[in-house]
Amino acid sequence: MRIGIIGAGTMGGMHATALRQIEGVQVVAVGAREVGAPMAAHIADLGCESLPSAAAVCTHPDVDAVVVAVSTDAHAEVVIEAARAGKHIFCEKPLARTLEQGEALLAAVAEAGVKLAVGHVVRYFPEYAAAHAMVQRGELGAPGVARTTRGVGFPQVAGNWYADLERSGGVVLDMMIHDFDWLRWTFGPVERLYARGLAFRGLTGKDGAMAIVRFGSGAVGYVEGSWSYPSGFRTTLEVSGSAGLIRTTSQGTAPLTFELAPTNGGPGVAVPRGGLQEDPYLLQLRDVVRWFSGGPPPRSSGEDALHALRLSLAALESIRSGRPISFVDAR
Amino acid sequence: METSPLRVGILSFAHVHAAAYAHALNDIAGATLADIWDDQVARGRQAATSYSTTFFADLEQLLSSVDTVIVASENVRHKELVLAAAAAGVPVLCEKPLATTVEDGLAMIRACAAAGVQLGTAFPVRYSAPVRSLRAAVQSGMLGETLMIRATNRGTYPGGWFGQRELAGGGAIMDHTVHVADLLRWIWRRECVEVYAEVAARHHALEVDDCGLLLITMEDGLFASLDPSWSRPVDAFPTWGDVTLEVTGTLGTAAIDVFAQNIEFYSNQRGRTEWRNWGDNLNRLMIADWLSAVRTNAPASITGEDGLRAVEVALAAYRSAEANAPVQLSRAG
Repeated sequence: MRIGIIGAGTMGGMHATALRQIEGVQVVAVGAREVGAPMAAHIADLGCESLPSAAAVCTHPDVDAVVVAVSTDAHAEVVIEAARAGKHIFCEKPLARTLEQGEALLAAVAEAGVKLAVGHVVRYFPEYAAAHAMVQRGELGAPGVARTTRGVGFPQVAGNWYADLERSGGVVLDMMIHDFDWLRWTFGPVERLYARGLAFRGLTGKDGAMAIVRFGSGAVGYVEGSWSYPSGFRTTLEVSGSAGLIRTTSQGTAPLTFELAPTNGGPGVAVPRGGLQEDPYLLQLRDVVRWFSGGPPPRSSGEDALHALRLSLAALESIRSGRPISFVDAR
Repeated sequence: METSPLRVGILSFAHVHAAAYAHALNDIAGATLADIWDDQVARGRQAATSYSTTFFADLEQLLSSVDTVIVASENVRHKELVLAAAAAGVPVLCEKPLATTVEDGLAMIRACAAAGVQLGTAFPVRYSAPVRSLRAAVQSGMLGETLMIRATNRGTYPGGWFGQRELAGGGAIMDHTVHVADLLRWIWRRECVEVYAEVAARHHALEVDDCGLLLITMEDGLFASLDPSWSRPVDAFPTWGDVTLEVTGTLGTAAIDVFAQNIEFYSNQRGRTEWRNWGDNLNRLMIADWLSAVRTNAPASITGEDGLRAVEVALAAYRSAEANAPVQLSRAG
C-alpha cells in the first residue's frame, strides 16, 4: 500500500510516525504548502517526495491512498479531489466544517467507489474501547448517566486557524466530536441536545463548551470540551448504570510522568500519548490500511463521522441560539 | 462570662443527616443536645437512647424547653415543623432542601420573620475550608473573570422515603441540586437566571428521578453544569458521594473536590473499599456558627431565603425537563 500524506502539521507527523510502523506500507509522498521540522525529518528519513500541494499528491500515479491532515475547513475539498482521483482516503476528524461539506464529501466518495475512513481515534483508545465493550455486554445494566470531559491548551499552529471558528469549529468540532462519536457508538442515537459555550463571544485564545444529551434509550450524557488547560491533555470518562459504575481518567492512569525544567517546546497541537506498546493512532491506521487492502472495515465509518459532525454542529447551534436541538431519527 | 449551654432540640430523625448533627452537637462546647421529637415514636426513642437524651412525643412540650431546634424530617414536613417552631418563638435550622414548593418556602420564611426568630438552611458545604479558599480566590480576581463551571454532587441513593414523591417532593434532583446551587450563588455572588435539565430514572426502580443533568445560567452569562445524580452504587462505592467544582476563568482554572481528604481502606473483612474522610467536620462548623447566631440574636449566615433560592433551581430543573426547554427563574418573596 503506497500512501501519500496531505498536510504536514502535528497530525500529519503523527500519522507519518504510525504509517512507518505498519508492515507493507510505503509513504511515497507528502503534500503541503509548508513543511515543519518534524515532517521534514520524516521526509528525509523516508526519502519520499515532498510535493507543494494536495492536488499533486491526489494525482500522483504511485499513490494508492491518501491521509488527509489539513485544516478542518479544507477537508471537503481535498477529500473530494482524492476521491475523484480514485484514491482511498483516511481523513482526520472532524469529517468537515459544515454538514453540506460532509454530505458532499460522502457523496463524492460513494460516486468514486473509493473507501473513506475518518479519524475517530477515541474508539481505538483502549480505555474507551473497554468501556464501550462493558456497556455492550450489559455489565453496567441499563445505562443512566455517561460523562466525558476532554481538555487541553489552546492549539498553537501556523496560521492560527483553530482560533477561527469559521475554519475549525472551535473546541466543539475539534475536541467534543470525539466524545459525541464515542457516546453515539456506545449508547445509540441522540434524541435531544442542549449546550452552552464560549464560542461566538469573541474571546481570544479561549474556548470551552458543555453539552447535555438525551439518548433515544432514555439515558443522559454530559460532554465537555475545553482549551483552558495549557499544562496538558486530560480526559475523564464515567458511566453509571443500574448495575454499576465505571470511571477512568487520563491523568489518573498515566503510568509514566515527567516533570522537567521549563523548556521552549515548539508550536503544535497537544495529543495524549504514552503507556502502550502500540498507540491508538497506530491501531487505527493499521485497521484502515487493512480495510483498504481488502480486509474488514475499521471501527468507524464515514456515516458515523457524519453523525458525530451533526451532533457537534447541533451543539454549536444550541450555543448560538440558546435552544435545545431535537433529532427526529433518534429512535 | 460563663454562659449556660444552649439547649438544642432535633425535630425528627427521618433524614440521614440527623445522626450526624447529633454527633456534631456532642463536639460543640456551649451546646447540648437536649431533646428529640419524632412523629415515629420508636425511631425517636431509639435516637434518644443513642444520644442519652430525652424523647418528647409532644412537640409543643419540646419547643417550650429548648433554645433552638434543627429540623431533619422528610422534606415535605419541613414546613409544618418550622411553622411550629416559629409559633413557639424558637429559632430553627432547617435541613435542605428548605421546602419542596416555593409556596411552602415562602410561608416558612414569612412565619419566622413575623415571629422574629431566625431561620437557617443547612448548607454545610459553605463551611469547607477549600470552598472558602476557592471563594476568596474567585473574589480576588486570581482566575480573572469566571467563564464556566463544572459541578457535581453525585451520591448513592439514600433509600427509604427519599424514593417516595409524597415525602421527598422529588428524587435526586430535589435532593442534590441545592448544595451546588447555593455554592454557585455564594461564591460568585450572583443569581441563577435560567436552567436547562434532562431528568431520568435509570438506576433504581423508583417512582422518583434518580439522575439528571443541569446547565444553569447565572447573571452576566456565567454558566455551570451540574450532575446531581444518585449514580453511585450503594453497596460498592467507597463513600456516599461527592461535591466537586471545576472552574474556568480568563486567567486560569481551579478544581475543588470537597471530600477528597480520605484514607483508602482495603479490608478483607469488610469487602467493600472504604474512604474514611479526615477533612473538617462541616456539620460541626455549620451548627457552631448557627448556635453563635442564636446566642447573639444575629441573622443566620445561611438564611431561609438562601434555602429558597436553591430550591427554585431544583424546581426549575423539573419544569425544564417537563418542557424540554430552558426555563427562566423568577425569585419569589
